[in-house]
Amino acid sequence: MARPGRARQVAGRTAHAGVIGLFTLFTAFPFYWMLITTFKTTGDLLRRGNNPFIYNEPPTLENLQVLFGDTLYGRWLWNTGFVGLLVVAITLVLALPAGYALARLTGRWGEQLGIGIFLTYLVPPTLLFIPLSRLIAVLGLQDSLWSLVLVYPSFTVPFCTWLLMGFFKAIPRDVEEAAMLDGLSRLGAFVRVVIPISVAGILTVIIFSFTLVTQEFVYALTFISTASQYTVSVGVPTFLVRGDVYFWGSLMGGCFIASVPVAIVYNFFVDRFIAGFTVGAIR
Amino acid sequence: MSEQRVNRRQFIRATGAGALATGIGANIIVPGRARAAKKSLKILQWVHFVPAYDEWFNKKLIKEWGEKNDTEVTVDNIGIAGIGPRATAEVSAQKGHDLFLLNWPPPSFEEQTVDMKDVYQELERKVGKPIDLAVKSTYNPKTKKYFAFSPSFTPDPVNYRQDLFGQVGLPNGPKSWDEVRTAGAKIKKQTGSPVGIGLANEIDTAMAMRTIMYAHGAHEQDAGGNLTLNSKQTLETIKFVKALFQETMTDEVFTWDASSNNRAMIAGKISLALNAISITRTAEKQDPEISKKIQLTKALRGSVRAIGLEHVMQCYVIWKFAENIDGAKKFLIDYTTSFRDAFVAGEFYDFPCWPKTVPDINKLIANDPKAHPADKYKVLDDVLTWATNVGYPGYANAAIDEIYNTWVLNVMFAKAASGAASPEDALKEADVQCRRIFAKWKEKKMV
Amino acid sequence: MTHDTVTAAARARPRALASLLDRPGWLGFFMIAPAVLYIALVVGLPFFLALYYSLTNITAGSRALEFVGLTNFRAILDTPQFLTALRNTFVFAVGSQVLVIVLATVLALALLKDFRGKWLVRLLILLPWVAPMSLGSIGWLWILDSIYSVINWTLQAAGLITPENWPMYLGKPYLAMMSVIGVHVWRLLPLATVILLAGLTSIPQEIHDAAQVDGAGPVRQLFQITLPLVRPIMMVATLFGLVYAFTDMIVIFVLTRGGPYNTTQVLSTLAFFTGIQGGDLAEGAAIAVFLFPLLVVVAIVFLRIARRSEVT
Repeated sequence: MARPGRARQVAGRTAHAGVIGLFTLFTAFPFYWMLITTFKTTGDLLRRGNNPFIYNEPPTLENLQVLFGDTLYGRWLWNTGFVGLLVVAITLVLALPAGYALARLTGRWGEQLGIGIFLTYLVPPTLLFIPLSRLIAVLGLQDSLWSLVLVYPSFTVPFCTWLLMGFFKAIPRDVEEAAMLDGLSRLGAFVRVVIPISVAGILTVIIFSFTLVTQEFVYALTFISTASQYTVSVGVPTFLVRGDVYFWGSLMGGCFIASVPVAIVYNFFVDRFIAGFTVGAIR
Repeated sequence: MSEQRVNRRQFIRATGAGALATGIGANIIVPGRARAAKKSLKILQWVHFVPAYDEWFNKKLIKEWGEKNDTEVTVDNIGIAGIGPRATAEVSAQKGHDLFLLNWPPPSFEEQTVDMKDVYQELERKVGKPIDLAVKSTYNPKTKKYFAFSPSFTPDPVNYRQDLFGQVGLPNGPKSWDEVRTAGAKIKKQTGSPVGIGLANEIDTAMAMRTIMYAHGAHEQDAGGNLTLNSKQTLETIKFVKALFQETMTDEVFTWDASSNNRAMIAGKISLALNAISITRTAEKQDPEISKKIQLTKALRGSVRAIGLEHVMQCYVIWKFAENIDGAKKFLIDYTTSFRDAFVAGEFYDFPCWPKTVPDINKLIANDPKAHPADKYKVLDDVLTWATNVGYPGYANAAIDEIYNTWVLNVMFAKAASGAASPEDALKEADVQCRRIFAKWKEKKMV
Repeated sequence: MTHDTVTAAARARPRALASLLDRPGWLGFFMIAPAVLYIALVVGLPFFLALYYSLTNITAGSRALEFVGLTNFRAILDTPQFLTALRNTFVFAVGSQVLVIVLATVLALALLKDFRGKWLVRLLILLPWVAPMSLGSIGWLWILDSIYSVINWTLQAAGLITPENWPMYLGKPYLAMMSVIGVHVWRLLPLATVILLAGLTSIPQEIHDAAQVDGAGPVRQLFQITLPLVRPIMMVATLFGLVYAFTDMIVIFVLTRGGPYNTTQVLSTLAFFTGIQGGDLAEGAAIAVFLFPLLVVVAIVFLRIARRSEVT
């Protein structure tokens, strides 16, 4: 009786480990590969017949020297972070009040407006960059990071507003009503009571928005032509794919370095993110 | 080895450092730059394949020119994928650079560009006539306007493996497309090395297919700009490419992008490819051994003629909304007049559209210390006579441009070669598309 | 007297504002206005301009335009290239989304358990989500290369393939479509998994306990309880993936540019090649907005389903 049960348990655990292992292989292998490639000499990388998993020639730091010394990679990292943080801030400033108002103050048409705001998310950027470039020029922001700061909230605000709307709906009304009985105005209750208990939702918005910013390509490609103003996603391929030659080692290093720290930070907050999303998306 | 390392690093440093010099710190936080009292000239061009060229252009040329002309010149270098979108964005914004380099003929921008007639005239007075290719790529006979100016182009010669072709009795490489087919098949059978001419949605394929077409008398259009794709010659060419693929190549040519034939050639995998001299230049830096085996030939003969294409056509436009139109024109004239410097800085990647600007060109390319052997590039001494434009024998007009950029002909050849469609059906489908595209641009009165 | 009125007025003004802000309607208005104004200006205005482009004959290099009605839409509907791209778009979007949802469900269920090394596993699974996709795609380009593919090298070393029959991942129609779908799944899987995890953790343990008491096995529990309960949140995840698949072109642009012979050409890439590279902006716009009405309907339906859980 105990034996088959134990066997089943072992089988179950093996299957579980197998599933986890396969998925991890799928998601992480390209990064493992980037890491290996980063330290390979070009000769090693491009000699046919070489075992690609090992270093046939001694590892080299040359690709990283190229990345940091000969391109403005460090600056592009900084730019990306700078734009990311500002966009996150703008998104919060716009989406928090809007989400709250849609959840509490607007009644029936709030839901409609919420969905309406979400729909703007469906517009392809391949199209929008053309009319937007005119707006950028009118504001004198061409070739400046501020053009991205201005435009990027356009794809973070809609979804975050919608998500926060759901999040606020899930907060019992009693919370604010009690605060208002204590003499706070509704706005005061929102700022002093509702926001502090919405950390999970806010975190969700932060992570979500920041990721979208680091991914963006088309706007950065068309609004910016000055090398010192690029973000990682445009700067790296621009200077490391020259004509018809790819600088694989440096490209891979550029991707790896830009990804891993962010993933580590996210991993610390993923539980809160999950909590925020649970509440936000289905209420 | 150490020399190789230095080269590789120099390879990129140029533009990075150039950017540092021009842009850094100026507008990180404060948008817009402080307006200097003197004139300014803003140039946008691609990240050149040869980093030394960017180094020379960004650090030396514009400094000297700027001092002489009391102008502050700035250069922005962007990737080739960004050029089309950026040009569109600048037109939409009505603001941007004074001088904008596109790496292909840009006829659809005609309405927004300054007529370059006077630049052409001034240069003709100074250094004689340009080659026909330059005019065909920048002039619209319908509106009688030079919508762009072309100082130079990049040839698209045939790269072949001397050792492999030597094994089948052609140590000097093939002379005709038929020889590519027969010798290529033999080499593939004997050594396993296939011919490597792309059949994918990318620029090298687009150029190679047109080269084969034009050599066999097949054309998208005639000299008067009438669509002529649907012809016996085109059908024959499709059948030829299909046979060439089946007898000499492998499926990998369907996977390629613009960098793949470089890699395949330098890896020693393929016996022949069509490309700019980027293959041989990269080989010289990465793998001197293979570099000795890769040689170039002149245009190959087809059933009608021996002809080659430009690989990259350097076309500068000046927007009508540019702030320094006169300065931009002056710069173009000065740059072109002394094009010899650019030719040398670019390691012969760009050839002059104005032959007299590099009078000793044959001497230069006959003795290049970097090349193996030193006269490797000598075969290009008559490239000015056989390189031609997309849309030959007509002009590179807007319809030709759209056909090029939506890969209509690439798809036509690839479908037929892979067997996804019969040559007849592939041609018919391409013809329908070309008809529609031509009709569209005729209606817009630009063709 | 005058002095008094002034102070009274000064005192009254903030009070008027405050009382305005105390009225839910007005407060709501003030709180929503910035977001709506921003969206109207930065998305709405350009979007309607872009929509308008699709009804004109504008080119990339011109600003003069004439209204031509639905001409562009009629024209593209006649071309096999467009119809192929339309079909590919659905294959790409639906194929990748089905895979994402199935895989994310399995993965989320597996991650629900506690096990050693979970922190690291979660980190490794999050990675594709945070990679700048232009570079992530280049990484895949290298992995799928025709000469240097590490996958093929491994398969050959394992004796499964010979050098003559290396799969050309980006060169055969079905393989190429599978490759771009695979990379797209790779990129979307982390977010979908996290979203589904959110759904799974929100199911109260009592429901499972009750089911167990009723004698429901794990499989029945999965299909009759767990999956229906996470459906709303699954809808949100799917909607996200669909939006990406329909509007974002970076994966296909880097890997195949629509090849081999347009078998992976989708509407977003075709719109780019036609409108930006090819110069016919109006037609490019028509191709790009063609699916917008459909996307709107899908989004509304999905969001409605997602939020219906509120009622139950």
